[in-house]
Amino acid sequence: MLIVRELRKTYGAEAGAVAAVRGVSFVIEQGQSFTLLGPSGCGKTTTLRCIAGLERPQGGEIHLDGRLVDSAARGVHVPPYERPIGMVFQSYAIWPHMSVFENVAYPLRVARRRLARGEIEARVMETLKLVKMDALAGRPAPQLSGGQQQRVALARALVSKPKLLLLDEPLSNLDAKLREEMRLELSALVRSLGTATLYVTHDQSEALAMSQRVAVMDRGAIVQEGSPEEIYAQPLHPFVAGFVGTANFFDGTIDSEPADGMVVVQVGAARLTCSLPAPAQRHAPGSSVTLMVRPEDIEIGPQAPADGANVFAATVEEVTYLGAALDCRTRTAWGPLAVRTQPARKLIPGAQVFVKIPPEACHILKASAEPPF
Amino acid sequence: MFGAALRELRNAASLQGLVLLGAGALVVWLVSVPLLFLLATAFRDTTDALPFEPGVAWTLGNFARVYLNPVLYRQVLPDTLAYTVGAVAITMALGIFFAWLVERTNVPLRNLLFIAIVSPVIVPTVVVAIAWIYLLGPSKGWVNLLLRWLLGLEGPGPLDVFSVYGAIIVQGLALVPLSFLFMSAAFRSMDPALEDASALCRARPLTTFFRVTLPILLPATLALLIVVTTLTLEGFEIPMVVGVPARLQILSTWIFFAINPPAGLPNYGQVAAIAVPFVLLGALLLLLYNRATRVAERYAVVTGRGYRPRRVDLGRWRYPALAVVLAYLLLVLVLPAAVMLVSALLPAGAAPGTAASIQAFTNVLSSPTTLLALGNTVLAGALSATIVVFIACSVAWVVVRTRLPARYLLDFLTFAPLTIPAVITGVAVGLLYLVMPIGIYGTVWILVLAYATRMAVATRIMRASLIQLHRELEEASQVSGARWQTTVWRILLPLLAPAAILSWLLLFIVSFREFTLGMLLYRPDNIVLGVHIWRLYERGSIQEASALGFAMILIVLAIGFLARRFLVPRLGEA
Repeated sequence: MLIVRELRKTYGAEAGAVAAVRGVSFVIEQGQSFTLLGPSGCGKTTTLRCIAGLERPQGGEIHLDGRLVDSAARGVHVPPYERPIGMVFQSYAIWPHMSVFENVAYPLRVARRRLARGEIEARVMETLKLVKMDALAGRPAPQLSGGQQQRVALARALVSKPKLLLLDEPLSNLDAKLREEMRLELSALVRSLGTATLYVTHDQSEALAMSQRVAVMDRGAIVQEGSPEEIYAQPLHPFVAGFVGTANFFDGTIDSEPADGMVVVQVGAARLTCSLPAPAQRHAPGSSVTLMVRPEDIEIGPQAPADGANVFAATVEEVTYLGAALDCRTRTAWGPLAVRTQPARKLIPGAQVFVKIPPEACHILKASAEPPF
Repeated sequence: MFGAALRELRNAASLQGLVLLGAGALVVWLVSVPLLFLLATAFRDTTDALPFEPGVAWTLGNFARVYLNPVLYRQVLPDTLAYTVGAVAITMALGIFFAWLVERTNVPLRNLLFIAIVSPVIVPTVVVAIAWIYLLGPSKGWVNLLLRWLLGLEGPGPLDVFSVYGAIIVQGLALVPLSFLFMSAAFRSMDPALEDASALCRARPLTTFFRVTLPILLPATLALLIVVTTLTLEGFEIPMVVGVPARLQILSTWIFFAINPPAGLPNYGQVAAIAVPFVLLGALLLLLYNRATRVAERYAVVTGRGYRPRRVDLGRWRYPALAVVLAYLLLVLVLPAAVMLVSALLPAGAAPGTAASIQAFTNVLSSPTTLLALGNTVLAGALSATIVVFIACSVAWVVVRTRLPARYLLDFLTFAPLTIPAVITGVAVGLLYLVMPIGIYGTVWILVLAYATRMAVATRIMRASLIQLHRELEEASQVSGARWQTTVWRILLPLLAPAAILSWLLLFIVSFREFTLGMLLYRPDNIVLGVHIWRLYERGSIQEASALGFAMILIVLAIGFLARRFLVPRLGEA
């Protein structure tokens, strides 16, 4: 459905040029939902705007529904109004001088092939029903709440039955409760319609919850692409591990030959048994690596557990109560460790505890600190 | 880079490109062509000839003759300096004082005062000037009659409007509505929290005023100072009406008389030579103004949550302060209108007890010249307003929405006419069409083109309006399948309409006040209302001049009132 190949976009003149997108490539299949995830300035919105046709890339190609829509090399740029897309803008961009109905009817009214009046009305009401705004069809736009505006924006993007749906930070303007509701509704709706969808967001929980594939971006390039589970549980790079979820990072040296998919890493004075990502990668003893452990994977308690692998003594330094969880900052002999556990634990600052890092939860990442390009 | 330019050209061939190029071409034509023509003329020897007739040589002699003329240094420059400094001082002092009173103290009736202080701007300056003569004329001025009766004095005076002081006071008061409006906007855009923070640091109110308020307002005040100085320098109505009888000769009147010599052909080259440094000075002032506003904008904070400044409690000075403002309003609003009305109803110098008659009203309002003047004023005003609003919308769009490098030049060109004195614009436009073989010289169409150079304010209004429209509103339209024309027609224009209509009305009302351009480009066929009143006054038809003046005040007030009634609520929605 969407093929993006080596997309490049730079802003500004020679000296002060900012390379916003540097060689981004990915594919979205029919009916698939895909997210570009990354911090501000990583180039995800620019990529989205290039796909929409609102920006012209300087390099690379974009193919939409089997048709080449952008290629600087071949001088092709299909304008936005000729692409089979629908887009929900971050600000929703609901036109204040029209009613809900008129906002949603707009794409049908300005289309090349004009539909009959009755057909337009039927389609608009049908789409409004999908987003549960059919009762408010006659309401003037300025009287809508944020959540309602978002639904209208979605309806407007869907009414022309686009081949690709683009959503720019769709949930960021909503409050926390509404965000959770809309997350479910949005992904269910998109799934039931079977439209290929591209989300752009900086919120990693949105990315993991709503899409089938996630591409993490940093400084204009894709750092890792995969399913939500792969991205979270098997990050290949410290940036991905740190951006998606929280993580503890340690620098260490490989201290043994891999055996049974495990290897021993020396971190300061401690020796940790870690799993190697499958397929097992060759890491020679003596090479430096970065280890990553998720706080929620670490076990913590007043007594040392019976199974002795990766058990260390620690002192609790600070405890933060989050309602559903307890975040602890602890310190072992070889460094600080952030642990997340249940509130029932009742840990207090100063307590002497034992932490256990299951070897499967101890990941080895690419040693280099630079992104892979 | 070349590829980008080619792409821009290909884009330009679309409808969008044509419209925008057209607007750009119009701006360049209206603003820079007359000016360049003027600049060229300054170097042509035009004794007894038009600047581009065959046989006319290039010369620097014009500059020599003008700048080595002792009259320039003995009379024109000193007079201009005295006049400008005095008037600007009055305008700034009163504007700042009134703005401070209304925005920062608890003087009573604040909202009413705001409207009242701003409203005199609606009255044509030439009418104001004539009204002042009725009030302060040495022999028969009302104020003088009153003072003579109160103080038991004899003879002409004690106050004489036909003096340097008279001219300075009249001009100074004329621009107070503008300086007040500007300064109250500046006071309002200042985050009150800044002064609160000073108070929380244990600073007393006076200290806060001098260490926080004043420095923050300084850029805005400087910007205002530049605008007021420019407007005062280029002022023509008051120097013409009040200054000339006082034998004041300032730059703008000097230029006027140079272009209207008692005999023979005006020496256009010399007139242009006078004008050139004026234009350069204007460009310099424009740069300074831009600098000052950019700094001012950085200091201004748009406080979205309700404006609640710390208001100084005037205590027992509340009502005296109110009295001062009311006295001012009496002087600049009530008295001039009253004196106009009375002078229309009673013949000049009539003994008390003479019956009032509306004969003057009926005479002047039914005279064919008046009808011609009215027609010309309305036509020139409406047409030029329409042209300017079109230009303003297009230029605002290019400046705000595109990244074309030419947009800075376009923006500059729309703003530049503000700093070019109307006298010079009149001369430049007149000269251009005198020489060009299009037969519009001396017709109302030349007025349309001259009026249309006043595009600075409208462009700024449209720009501010467009900035508030998120560009995603237009992008959503594009993504929904609409081409540029459809987006403009269905999305942009409806949303910009309130600001566009407001601009149009402002321009239309301002063209009613127009006097300078009308005078400079005057021919019997293109007479406008302001010029008509002046000519009636000049040849002694005092009653008819007053009747027409009063009628004009009513017309403009009516337009303003209707606009407020029907537009402002609609603007509030947008």
